[in-house]
Amino acid sequence: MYRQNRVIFLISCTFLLGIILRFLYLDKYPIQLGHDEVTQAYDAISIAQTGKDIYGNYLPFIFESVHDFKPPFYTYATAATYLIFGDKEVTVRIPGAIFSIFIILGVFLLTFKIFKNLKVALISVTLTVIAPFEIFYGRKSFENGAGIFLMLIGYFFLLSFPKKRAFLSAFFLAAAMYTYFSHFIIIPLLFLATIFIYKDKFFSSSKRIFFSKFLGLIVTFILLVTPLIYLVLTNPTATLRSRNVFITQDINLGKEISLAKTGNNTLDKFLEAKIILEYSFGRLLNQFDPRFIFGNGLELTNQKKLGIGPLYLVSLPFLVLGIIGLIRNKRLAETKKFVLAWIGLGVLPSALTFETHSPHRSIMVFTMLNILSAYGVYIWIKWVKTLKNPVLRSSSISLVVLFFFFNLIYFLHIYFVNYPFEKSESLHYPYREVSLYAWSNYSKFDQIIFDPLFGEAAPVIGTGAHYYLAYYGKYPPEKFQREYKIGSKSREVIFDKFSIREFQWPQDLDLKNTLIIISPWTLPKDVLERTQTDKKFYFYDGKLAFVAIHLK
Amino acid sequence: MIKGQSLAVFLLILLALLLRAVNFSFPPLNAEEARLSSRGFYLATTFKDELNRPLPFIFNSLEDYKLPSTSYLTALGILFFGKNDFGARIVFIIFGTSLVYVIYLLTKLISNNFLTSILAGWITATSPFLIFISRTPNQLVIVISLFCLLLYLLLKRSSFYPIFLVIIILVLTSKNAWFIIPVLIYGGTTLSHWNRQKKRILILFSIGVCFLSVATFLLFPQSKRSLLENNFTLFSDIGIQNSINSFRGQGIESGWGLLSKLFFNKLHFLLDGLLSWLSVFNPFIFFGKFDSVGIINFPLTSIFQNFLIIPLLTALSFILKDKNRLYNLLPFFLILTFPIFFNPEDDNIELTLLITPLVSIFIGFGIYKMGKYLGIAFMILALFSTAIILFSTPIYYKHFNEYRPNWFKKAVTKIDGINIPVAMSDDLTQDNVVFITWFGQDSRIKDFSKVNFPYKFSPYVTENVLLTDNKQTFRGCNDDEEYVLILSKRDLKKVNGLHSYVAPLIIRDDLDKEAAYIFKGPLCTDRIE
Repeated sequence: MYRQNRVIFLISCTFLLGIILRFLYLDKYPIQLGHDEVTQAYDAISIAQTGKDIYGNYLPFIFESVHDFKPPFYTYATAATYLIFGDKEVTVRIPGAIFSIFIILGVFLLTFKIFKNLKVALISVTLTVIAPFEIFYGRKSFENGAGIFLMLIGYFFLLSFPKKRAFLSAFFLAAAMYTYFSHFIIIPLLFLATIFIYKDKFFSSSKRIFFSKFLGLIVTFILLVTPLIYLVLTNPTATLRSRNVFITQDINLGKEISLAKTGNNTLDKFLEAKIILEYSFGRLLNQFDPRFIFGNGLELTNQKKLGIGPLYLVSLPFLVLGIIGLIRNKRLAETKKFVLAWIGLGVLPSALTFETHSPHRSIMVFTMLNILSAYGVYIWIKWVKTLKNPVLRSSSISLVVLFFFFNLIYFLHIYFVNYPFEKSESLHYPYREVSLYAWSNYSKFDQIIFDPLFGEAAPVIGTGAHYYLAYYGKYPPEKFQREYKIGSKSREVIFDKFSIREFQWPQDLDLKNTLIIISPWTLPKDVLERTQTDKKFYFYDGKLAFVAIHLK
Repeated sequence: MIKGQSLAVFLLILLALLLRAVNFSFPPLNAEEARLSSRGFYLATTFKDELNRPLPFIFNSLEDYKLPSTSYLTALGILFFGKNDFGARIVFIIFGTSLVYVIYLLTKLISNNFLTSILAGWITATSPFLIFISRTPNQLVIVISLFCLLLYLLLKRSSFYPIFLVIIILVLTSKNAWFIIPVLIYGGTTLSHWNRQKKRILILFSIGVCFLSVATFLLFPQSKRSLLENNFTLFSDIGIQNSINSFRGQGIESGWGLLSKLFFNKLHFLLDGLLSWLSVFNPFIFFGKFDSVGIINFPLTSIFQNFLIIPLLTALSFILKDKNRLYNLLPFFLILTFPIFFNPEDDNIELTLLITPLVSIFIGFGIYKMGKYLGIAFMILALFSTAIILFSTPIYYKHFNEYRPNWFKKAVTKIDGINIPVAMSDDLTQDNVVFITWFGQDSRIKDFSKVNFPYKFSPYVTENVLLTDNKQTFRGCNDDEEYVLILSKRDLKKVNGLHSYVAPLIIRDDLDKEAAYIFKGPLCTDRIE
């Protein structure tokens, strides 16, 4: 009883720490809603109020958003939190943070199930609570968190076979497939791999159990995912999204394919397939670069060598220990195959997309690496306990705890202090301030032009400016759906008085009674120095981002 | 049985030799290799290097000083076989082939299993990367082969003399060897339980030789800088220092001053070194692609064929599970690569590649463990995919276009041996001089010893061949003038108005794009003194 209470107490404390790390200053950090967040927030409001997205699509299966065709789960989840918490910036982050807390539970259950060891499960919970990638993505309104949670729970139930609760896995795994595009492929593959790995569990049962439970589970799963398969196969935007992010969009790969052209059509097709396959394989392997995983993989800074990886550097020796321990443990023969399948399949989305590293697509891999590190910590603690000298024993453990604590504080420093300075541009800072300013001057002008081209070191075109303006102006979605149109000028989007487009210098100077918000990249330097500006907007690090000028 | 084994070893070596020697002109040389080859030619024929220095100890290259052994070994090949591709590459073909035999011996010594040894040798023989470096003049194949040989001699508890000889050649080949050798000697003698006194002698000898090498090297001008910038970048990396300062400043501005100072300090130099060292074990380097332009490997390939990661993982699983005899090799992965800790540069690949033979051994063991049929399938696949590479030369020439400009031979033949003045754009290749001196038969090389110190640079390759830079201007020739101009696109623009009455002869590069324009006659330029 005492032991049980202690376990509950430990889990509660760890959960509390997890809640604090995910919810503390959630409204302030990240310093502004990123373009993914603002698009999801405004689409969610639009869904909650009108049942349609901002482009007027009724309960869409895929959100067009800013032509990146987002999966629907997170936006609908945000619509629910909007109905509960109302229209606050933090509303869009709440589902992500909640699912990030749920993940802790999922990790506990799955680890306990596959390692059959409470201590390993408890250590993995602790590491999950403080893991950089869990905290970072938990605070960022990222849809994959929900998918990972549902997967963890789904496979926990699946591995509970032939118990009755195994039937629930069909629901959780099917739900996970609806949350994130890559899960559509990964979950069925891992499902098959799991059944193959644990074939003794699934096929050694009596005929009655086999037909009633196993086939029942499979049929339910298939029935639940059939609508999704139908939607994915018939919805052109789904294939568009896949094509947009597929590895063939990689410029270097394109170059390699073009260099391999021989003029023989059949041979060229063979070579192209071979090159794509090998390129993807290389990319898959590159996801295991130690510098990426333990050095700077989360890309929270612009410094090449200083940053933070999805896992702490201090986890590395424990990860190695965990892998070796798992390989040597004959009792966990199925576990090691399951872990290998989880990691091998989990890394596929990153390998098949155009970015060299895409940590957000590898979260399930990091989750498993974290569990393996926890197993390493467990082995290490077991070894420390064999030490005869009690001082050495306790000091070794204290030292490792201290290292983890030190790594956690280091991450928090990077996250709360350096990340805003270094990455304010990628968070579209100061789009909120720009939007609020535009609305505060709304009545004074006939037209407001906003050119979203901005940048600290080089010009980039900001995404989703119309979402920012509409969201921060609390613009009624129903009205937006009516007003929104594509203009005739370069990259022009129009609604109400707003024209979001390329500012054309000096032709646009003929405009009358117009508020113009542009960056120094748009205006020639000498003109900028001579021009009387109404307001200047700065990046988080104090560099000039935009200026507001008006034409009478 | 022994006879059968000997035959198998013979066939393995024959295969390695064939894969390295057939069509030996492929791949074409890059600037550094052409420099090494032409230097070898000068050394073999005049006992002077390309800067007219008699039998020097240190040589120059584009990026760093070069130690002597590679140049002299290249000269040896050219001495016997003449100034041609075979002469320049033969020594490296021999080293690359010998490596296969050394790997066979090393694996047999460690694993005590003939099949594993043959398989490890097979993997070494068919590794695209090891074939590539065996076909081009470079120090890497020498260093890799000698380190393997040294490890073998140490584990075999060989007599002192061959070990001494290998150590001496190694310290004359690579600066990294100066730091690795004493640690390797310690590791090797400890693992194979050397007699304490002999062990002490060996360690002292290696430390002495390495120390002497460093001390001698430091006598050369700019050598300290060379070491700092090429071998100890950890201590000269201002990038990290700037990052530390930025983060501290951001912390102070946000009120985290004390913590920022605590977290961002010089310790990051060590962390960076550690991460770089660990990055050696990125599987991408061995089974993905690490060289897309073909500087030290075939561009579309990895060190090993990518499917060989399966036997490697199998081997690791067995080795870690059963503490197999090969388990003892694991520390050598760290020993051979530890200098990366002090030199955490992204392009620092040489040290990573030193462990390639050890990976071969593991793959060989993995294949052995996978059983007869799978093993044979992997062996055939490895050989087949390597053969495809060697028969796909047209594709690779396209990739080599920038760094291994085979097409430039055509330009060189136009000016070879002629006496009239020639002006050539200096941006046609990475380094025209070395290609002209290697591809051409003209031995009238400029005597750089007469050029003023410190930069022994002259715009003239020979007395009549001028390399023109961006500032050079062109004009119509006077009646008594004769000139040959070989111009790049950059310089073609300058003469556009002048050559309307004469069409240039166009040389196409390996991508079949216009690369050089040859004018004979009406266009001239002024001589630079």
